[in-house]
Amino acid sequence: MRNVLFLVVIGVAALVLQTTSWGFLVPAAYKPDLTLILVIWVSLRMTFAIGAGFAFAVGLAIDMLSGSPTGLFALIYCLLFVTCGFLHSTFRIDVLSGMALTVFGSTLAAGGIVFLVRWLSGSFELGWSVSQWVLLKSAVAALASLAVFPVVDRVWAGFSRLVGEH
Amino acid sequence: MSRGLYTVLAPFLQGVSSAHSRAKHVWQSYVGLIAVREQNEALKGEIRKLRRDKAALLDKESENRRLKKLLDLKAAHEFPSVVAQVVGQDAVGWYRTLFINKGSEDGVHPDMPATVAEGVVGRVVNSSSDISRILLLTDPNHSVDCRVARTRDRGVLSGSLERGCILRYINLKSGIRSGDEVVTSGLDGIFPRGLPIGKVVTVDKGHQGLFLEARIAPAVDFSEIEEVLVVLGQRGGFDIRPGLEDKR
Repeated sequence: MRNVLFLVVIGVAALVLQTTSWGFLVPAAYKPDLTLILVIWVSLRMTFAIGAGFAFAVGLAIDMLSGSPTGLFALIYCLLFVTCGFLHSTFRIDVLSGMALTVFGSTLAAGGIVFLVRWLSGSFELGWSVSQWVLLKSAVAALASLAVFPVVDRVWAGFSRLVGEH
Repeated sequence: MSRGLYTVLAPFLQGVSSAHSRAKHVWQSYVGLIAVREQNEALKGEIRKLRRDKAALLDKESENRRLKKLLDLKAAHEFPSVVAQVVGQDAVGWYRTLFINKGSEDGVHPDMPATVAEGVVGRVVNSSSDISRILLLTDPNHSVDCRVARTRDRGVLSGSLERGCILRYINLKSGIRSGDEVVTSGLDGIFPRGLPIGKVVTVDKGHQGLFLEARIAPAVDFSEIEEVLVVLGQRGGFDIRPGLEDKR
């Protein structure tokens, strides 16, 4: 229950931040996906059931707050959650650089899926500048995650002290 | 006797008097400095307040100018419209959408056009009771039926994430050239005719060579939008009679 409460609070905070002031810090097209960073964090810190629920719920919320077809981000986040959980259990990626690299790869994968779906559904041209955009956005997300992961860890530790371990 | 006393005391009296006047001067300067410091702090506070007021006034002036333009635009429309404030942007940034603070309670429904004084912004794609999402003109999922204002050639404009917008399906015989203005044709049943879209940047033959394609620079700077005018019109679209748009 404590974990769910924490995830609801940071999930809502991330969604609000992402649709409002987050875009003013960096150009809107390159703003890092905070919720994706949280999904990666959850895949390393939470149990499967809670993490999968979070990934699905936050993905569905993103679908409603962006131009994506309903369910696309819910699916992408669930896939990334499972993949990152598997990578963590196999390679122990629980170091900051490893986590940032995971965010880079995840943003790359999410962007790739988004543009693949757009390309399949309409007259959208995939070009070098789109690839450049996806790469740059992934790099910005990875850099942002270097700051976000320690902050979330600290908030989580503070929350645990405040609410109690159980 | 008294002269002798005066002679003896005179240097002391002078010394004490001088010391007193110096002490008095120092004290007054000190008190004066405290007063000056207090005054300085008060003035600094006043400057800060004036700067804040100036920034607020500039912001209000800018808002006033934008709203005045929207009001002029609203008066120019033959359809009812509502001014809405932009309250958010696309959550992930892979798509080109933004949120406005007006929804179905204000009469805003899907497929209603959103404009600013400079031109078309996009169309409403979702609306709840008090918030709506607008799909911008530059998103590849957005298409508008357009005309080149000078040559009256028709084409379909769609967003392109990397290159502004692209006007497709223009007649090969068209005399379209760089700098031509593009406006809405009104034939898509969503946008009223004659709304500015942007200017032609380049023209070339499409992939198949059957039509011309033009790259369009949108008239609106999408990163600067703070308020939009949503044209309410009819929910089922605008009444378009064939040929009417040519008589404008």
